[in-house]
Amino acid sequence: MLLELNPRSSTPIWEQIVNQVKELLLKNILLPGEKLPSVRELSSLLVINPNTVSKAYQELERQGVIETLRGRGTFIPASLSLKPDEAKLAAVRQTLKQLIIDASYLGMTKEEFLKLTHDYLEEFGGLTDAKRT
Amino acid sequence: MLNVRNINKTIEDKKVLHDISFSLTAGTITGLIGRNGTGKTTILKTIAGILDPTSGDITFNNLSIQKHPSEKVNFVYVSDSTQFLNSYTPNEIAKLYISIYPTFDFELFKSLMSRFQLPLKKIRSYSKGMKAQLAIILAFSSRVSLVLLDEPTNGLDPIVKRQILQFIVEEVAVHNVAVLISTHHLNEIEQIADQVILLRDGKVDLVASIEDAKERYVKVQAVFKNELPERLTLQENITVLGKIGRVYTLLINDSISQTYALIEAEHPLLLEEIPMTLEDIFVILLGGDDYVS
Repeated sequence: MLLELNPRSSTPIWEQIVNQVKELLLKNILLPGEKLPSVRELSSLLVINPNTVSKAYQELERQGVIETLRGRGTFIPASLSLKPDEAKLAAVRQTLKQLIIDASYLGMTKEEFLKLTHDYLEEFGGLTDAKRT
Repeated sequence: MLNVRNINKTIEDKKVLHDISFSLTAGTITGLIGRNGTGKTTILKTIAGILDPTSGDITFNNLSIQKHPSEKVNFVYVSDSTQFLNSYTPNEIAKLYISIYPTFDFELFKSLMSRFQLPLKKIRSYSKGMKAQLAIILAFSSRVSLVLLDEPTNGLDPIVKRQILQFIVEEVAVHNVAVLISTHHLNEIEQIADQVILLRDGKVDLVASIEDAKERYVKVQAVFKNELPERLTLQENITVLGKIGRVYTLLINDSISQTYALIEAEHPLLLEEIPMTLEDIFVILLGGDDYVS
């Protein structure tokens, strides 16, 4: 598992791990059923505090992206059951709206915008089959 | 686990430590930072029991180590000078450690020696990096609850440094050891520490988790139509760090969102946040002083 952490970013390290694991999953670099490195392995690999890794794993587990099986380790579940978070969904809608406004003022056409959206969905849209609980 | 309460230390009529208090928890890494000569080593040596505090108390699991010196068997101090090891072989030193620390794991020691590819010959023949590795291997092989490291990565090459830091985080993750590290390498400690203790003139200036410390201070770049508006210069929690042309670099300290709103009310032409590093906090809090006396 390859994570690129940016210590100079204002995003906390644990949040960078959460975001990047989610991205790797959408890019199918991490596959359902795959085992993630242990807290010890990941903290040693990245030379970061083990409690930072634990915090990231807890958050990923809360969001339903990973599951911890006692004594066996941390895994990507075979079937993802995503937990929709209404507040986050609302924030995503708001960000999208702002993006469209910005893009219009920058002279981006509707076709260009839709094509970009389509391309990104192709790249990251691997979760459409996931069931929602 | 370890509580340091109101420690004062006077050496030859000079007050070296003033009212130092902090606590350490199992499974966490704490960075002890500060300018040269502010008492970092003195604090480590006082916890290790090499120096006695003039007043104040250090307790381990609620037992005072002054009254119960045998509790010191729970910690290992690794000095920044490894000269004393010179005339021994690693196995001789390990025997000495076994006689001091009943929990010393000799099998672990042997496996670590081979993992770090350290030869079993006289330590005099070791390079500086090998000596530093040996001292840290000895400390963690002792299987104690608290390891005190005085500038463990000083003078090490980037590869050895990385190996040592990796080893430290693994030990903390697996064995729930508490580690207190004094260091000047802020970028290293920033990534591995849970909390930092910032010392200034023998006093604790700040004890905070790295995230909290970074949240308390925000650095922004701002450009205004003219000079910096007077209303902002009067704000006590805004410090001007620098000015290049019309671009001001400002530091906001506490009440971040209110202050942000105040700046925005002045209609800046540009206002953007710049990421803070531990080094920025260090320089901001300690940089104004004269150099070590």
